[in-house]
Amino acid sequence: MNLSKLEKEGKKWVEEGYIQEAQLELILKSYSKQDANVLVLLFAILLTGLAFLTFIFSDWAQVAHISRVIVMLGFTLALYILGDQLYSRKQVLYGMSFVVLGFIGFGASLFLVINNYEVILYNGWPFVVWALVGLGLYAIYSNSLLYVISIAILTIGQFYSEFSFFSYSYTILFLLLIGFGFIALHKGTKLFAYTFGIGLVINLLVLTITTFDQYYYWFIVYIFAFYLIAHLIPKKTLAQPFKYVSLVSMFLFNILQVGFIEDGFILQNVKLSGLFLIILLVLVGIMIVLKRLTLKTIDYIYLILFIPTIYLPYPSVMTVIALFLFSSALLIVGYKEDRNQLITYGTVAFLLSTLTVYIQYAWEAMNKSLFFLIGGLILFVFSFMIERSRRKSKKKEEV
Amino acid sequence: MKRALFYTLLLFQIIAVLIVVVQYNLIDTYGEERTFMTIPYPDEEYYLEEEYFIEEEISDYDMYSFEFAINQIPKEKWEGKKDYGYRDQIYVLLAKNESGVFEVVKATDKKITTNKENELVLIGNNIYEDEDVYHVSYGFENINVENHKEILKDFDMSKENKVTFKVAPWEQGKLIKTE
Repeated sequence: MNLSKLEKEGKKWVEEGYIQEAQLELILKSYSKQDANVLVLLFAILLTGLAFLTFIFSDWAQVAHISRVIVMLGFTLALYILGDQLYSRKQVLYGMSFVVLGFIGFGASLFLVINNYEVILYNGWPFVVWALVGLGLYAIYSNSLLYVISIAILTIGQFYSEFSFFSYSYTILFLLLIGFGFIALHKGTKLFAYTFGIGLVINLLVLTITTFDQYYYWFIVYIFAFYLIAHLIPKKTLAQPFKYVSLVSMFLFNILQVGFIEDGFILQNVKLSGLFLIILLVLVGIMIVLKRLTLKTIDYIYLILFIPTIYLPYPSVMTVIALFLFSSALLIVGYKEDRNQLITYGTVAFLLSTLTVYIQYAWEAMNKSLFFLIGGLILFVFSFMIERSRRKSKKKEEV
Repeated sequence: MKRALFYTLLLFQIIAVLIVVVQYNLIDTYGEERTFMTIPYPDEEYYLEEEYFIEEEISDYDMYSFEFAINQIPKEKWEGKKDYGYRDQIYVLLAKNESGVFEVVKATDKKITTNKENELVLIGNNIYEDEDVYHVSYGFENINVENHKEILKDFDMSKENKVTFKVAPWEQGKLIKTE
């Protein structure tokens, strides 16, 4: 339960006369203890889980004897059964903690046997199996920690698959989309939306990395597809995080793009694909057609981030221009429509864009201390301008 | 319903872990032997140039990585592309010579298969150039020294050794002997 929300609502209830001040205090007190306890338990699980995972590298555990397997499996089973017993006796918090530890214990056992019996991995199947177990456990307990850990497992598995075996695992992507995407759509809370969104973006990022030198810009199409789908989801608690995650990733992508275009080797190896442009234009077209009734100026501003500047002459300069255009547009719309959130985002975006330009072009060119000094001065000027505009808008309110 | 799922999941996890153990023991029954020749380390030139003696035993290592003759593919036998990225793989055709040791016939980036009794196709990764050879890794060169103490008792790194693995049809193998 969100404590600050409870406080706000609770005050309203006291005003309405539903409860008394003293009762509100008691309620708030009981929840604050639980909040802190959840955090402590989370760390307890984290540390114990890490103990399990790192134990398989210890000397005792490396010996290829069935006894090691039996001990690890025994521990895992004990944790599962203990957790399940506690859970069925309504001790949800502790029950789930042990179930989660059992889940991690399974992963540890699996990697232990793979390590000890010298199994050569040609793909990321242990991670897929582990995540499938997570899916099954979620079906039983519907616990959000299981969801988050399973997505973490899938993402790490994807990294493993790509960088250790040099093959992208479409199985992992498929499992993520179908299994965990379905759960996110069904459950619809912000935590699930963000976890799934970030996991998906990272998986798509790894997919981009597989053909990075030549086709890195396909990232734009992947994220735009995600962005488009976010607009088609009716549940706001899902659509908002998805949109937010896609836009932030696109912004970061543009910032990084300035860096690696400037480095030079991308321009040598990149192959511009016609198919990419067609797909991107089709997707944008679909978006405009589907949303023509509800599209506002702000949505067109967001589209700036998706422009594939690599197709234009002087791509790094064009990317910088796009970034500044985006930030200034956010600020202008924010001030005009008096939306503080947009103003904040616009300011941060503008700052980051300036920082990018500054680092890219000034780091090499000038003395390091001069670099920092000028950077600091620029920020002072920024702060001054922001203060002035804030005072101006406050005066406007008073008038 | 959820009870059933819980116990099924437990069973599934136990089986998943035990399958790995079981398949290891089944390699003895279903596997075929493959022998490779190691390359002496350190080699003569290195000795003479550096002018000091490197006394190393395999027991000094926790994880030892065999360097086989098949890991070094001479440029004449390389039919793959000349510029390769870190993700590239190469298909290496091996054939048994008179003493039963597999040797490189050719390396190509087009997929090849073989049905002949004394031939084998392996996939090499981590390609890099080293003087006049291309160096690749196949994945099975790494072993845990402690676990194979008995087999590696008389292994001398500075000589050529015949190392034999038993490999099952599901592409997992174990070290059998060295001589």
